[in-house]
Amino acid sequence: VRVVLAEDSVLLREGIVRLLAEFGHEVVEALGSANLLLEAVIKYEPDLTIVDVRMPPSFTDEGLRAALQIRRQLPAASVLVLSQYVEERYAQELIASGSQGVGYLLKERVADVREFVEAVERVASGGSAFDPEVIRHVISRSRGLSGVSSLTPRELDVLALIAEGRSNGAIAKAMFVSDGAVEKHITSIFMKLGLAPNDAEHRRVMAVLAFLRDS
Amino acid sequence: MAERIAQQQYGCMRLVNMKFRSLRVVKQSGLLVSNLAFGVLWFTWVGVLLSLGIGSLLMIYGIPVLALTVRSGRVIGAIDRRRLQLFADVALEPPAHKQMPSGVFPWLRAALSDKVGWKGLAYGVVMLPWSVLTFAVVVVLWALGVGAVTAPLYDWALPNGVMSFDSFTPSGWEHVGVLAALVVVGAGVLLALPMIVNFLTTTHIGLSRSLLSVGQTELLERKVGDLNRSRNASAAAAETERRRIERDLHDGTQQRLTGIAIDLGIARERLSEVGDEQARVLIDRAQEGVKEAIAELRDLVRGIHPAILTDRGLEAAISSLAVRTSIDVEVSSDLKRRLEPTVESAAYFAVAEALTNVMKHGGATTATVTIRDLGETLEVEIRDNGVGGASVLPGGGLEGMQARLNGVGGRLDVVSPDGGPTHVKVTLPCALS
Repeated sequence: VRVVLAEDSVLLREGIVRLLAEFGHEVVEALGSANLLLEAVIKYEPDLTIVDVRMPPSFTDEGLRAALQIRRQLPAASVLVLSQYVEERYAQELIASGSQGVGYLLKERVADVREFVEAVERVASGGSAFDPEVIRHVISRSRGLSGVSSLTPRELDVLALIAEGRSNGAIAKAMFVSDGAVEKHITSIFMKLGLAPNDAEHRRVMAVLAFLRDS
Repeated sequence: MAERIAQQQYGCMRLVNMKFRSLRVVKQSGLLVSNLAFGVLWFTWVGVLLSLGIGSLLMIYGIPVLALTVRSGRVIGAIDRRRLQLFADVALEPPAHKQMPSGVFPWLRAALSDKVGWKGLAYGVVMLPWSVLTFAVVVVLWALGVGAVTAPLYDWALPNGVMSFDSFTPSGWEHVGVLAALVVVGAGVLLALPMIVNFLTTTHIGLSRSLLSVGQTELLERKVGDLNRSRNASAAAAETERRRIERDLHDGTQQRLTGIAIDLGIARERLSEVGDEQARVLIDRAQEGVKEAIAELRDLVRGIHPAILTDRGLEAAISSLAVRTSIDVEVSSDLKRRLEPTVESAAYFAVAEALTNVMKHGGATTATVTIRDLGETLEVEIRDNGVGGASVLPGGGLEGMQARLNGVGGRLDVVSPDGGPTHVKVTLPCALS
């Protein structure tokens, strides 16, 4: 995977570059601010852009704004947003900017090296990766919905993992069950929520998120 | 330093009290006598300029002349306030300086509608009769007093040794009696003089105060304005400081910890290739510790100042807060603009405190937060379906909220009957005055 990275902290920038290199991914450009990011993305056409939310000059949300701008101008580009804190609002803005190849994770998830690299690969190939913390909030807010309230605790866990963007295999591994068991859970969840069964993993995520957000 | 000088001066005054008193009569008399010159000057000034301005109103230059005349009313005021300070040691609070707009017509309009200027002109007119009166009284009394008291001297200096009043020429004991009577009358006048002069001066000060200075109400308003400004400044300073701390923690400590966590993650991967199980467990533990520290720090930072409040404003921050609350919180808002950081921050933390209370004590399962933009003020209401009984207690959370709101000119109303529900209303001025 070829990556363009924008992160103002030298420490983290080098850490991420090192980490991705370890797993055979290449960071073709590493920037310290967001203002030249779009140009770099246009120039290098990377498989994935990783961007920090807070960056100079104003240290607010310029990274997120840059990410949204990239998604607007280059709808096919995949973007993974990292942040010290996660806000559901920002996740919604990212989802609304297009449904392909989008991720939003807490920075410290980078430390769970394997899962992070998995997320990088997933988003780069058009999938999604949303932070468990965001998903937890989304789900807890929709707990009162008729569909969600009828889910078993186990199914709620699976729902959360689907919403995070994980594949069946990854869900099975995370829950220490077989792929078949996961599939059974997923079928049951989709039935209870009244969603059409969907084999494409990415569209499945979006369907779940849309359901949780809108209803 | 200035205080010490003032004290010393005061001490000196006490020592030479008598001298000071006689000096005061002289100074006050000077004021009242000089009144005439200024009264005539001001009356002429105002009379000529005003009639010139009004008389030529139909001409093109009438209005500018009138405007300048009104402006000159301020000059009259300034000069006579200075005179008052010189002669009577009374420093009148000058009226507020008027910021004149640029552009000819706005300037003219501002000049013509300047109350202070018009009052200065009125003072110039009133001064004429008043100054004639003060001049006459003071001059006559001084002349009478000094003249009568010094009558024996005058009598002695006369060439033929006898003074006469028209047809009556006193002689012998009569002569002595008349002189004695004159001395007594003169002494009486001189003794009464300080009181009369002081009375006239006080009246003059009153006249000047009402026309050349600011009213008591305006003075109080000015003080309130000053206090408001200093209060807002300290609220803003505290807010800036909170943001600085938040930024330092966010961009400093938190980044550093995240860097450590990442390095530990990489180290773990390398170790699992080598297969040192014990070291891997240790690194796992270290990494968990760092991640917990990061999470704790994140909560702490959010408590100091949530980043989303700066990034997206009040509604977004309160929605984010609602999501993090363990009960169902519905947020509705018609606020479409960004407010001053101190106002947003005060409103946010009021809601945070209210929701904390709801979770802790209220026994509630749902709550609503309503944000209303009323133009001048912002109204935030927090209602729950709990058991009520909340009140503002010393040292309690609600009292802290009240203090913080008062710091930015806001108000807190709590209605919480036993049995519930609780209704907390926060009212804040949108702009800091």
